[in-house]
Amino acid sequence: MKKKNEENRQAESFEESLEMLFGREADLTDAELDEELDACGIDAAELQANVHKQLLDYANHHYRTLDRDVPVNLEKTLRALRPHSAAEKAKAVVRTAENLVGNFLDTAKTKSAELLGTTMPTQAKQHQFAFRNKKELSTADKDLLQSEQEDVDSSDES
Amino acid sequence: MNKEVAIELRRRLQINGALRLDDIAKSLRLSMKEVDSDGFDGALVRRSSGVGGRILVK
Repeated sequence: MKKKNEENRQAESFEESLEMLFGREADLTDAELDEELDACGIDAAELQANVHKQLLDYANHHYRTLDRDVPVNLEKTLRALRPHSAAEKAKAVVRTAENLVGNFLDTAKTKSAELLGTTMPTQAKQHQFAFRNKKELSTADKDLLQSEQEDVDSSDES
Repeated sequence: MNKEVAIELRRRLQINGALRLDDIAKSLRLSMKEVDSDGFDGALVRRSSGVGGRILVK
């Protein structure tokens, strides 16, 4: 009994030390907890799936196969830990893609509106080229670009 | 994820069927021209007004 109390005291002391180091578990967000696990080389989704499987096996073995009701708290925990199905994962990816494209298009609209709404007469006359694999421009290249610039400005391609 | 992004882009931009480079360039008011250059493989020449221009390809 005395040995058991000593072990409990040591365990509590160890937990207090962990709290001092990492903060209280209840104060951490899910994302922060995932980061902590990741830092320890543990995949959060894999861990959740493993815990769910073990609890599910326990519930089946000790309750369902004996035709007994699974305790409410265990049932709740199983629901909370249930891994996402392939369909749910696919839906999440589609939602992420929708948000990504939506944000991209909104930003593009805002930026293009800003650009079109800004009049910069001094800059408008400056020739600005963008290159792919640019090296040293020869005289012929510079003449070519100048000629193309004049042609583009004078043409009616819009 | 790339596939989902491509699908969403096509949906939002109402793109049906295959895309043609000429159509994309035209909608951006860009034309294309092959040139004999030494100092670059490709160049974008912007119209001085800031809208559209020409893509030069070696």
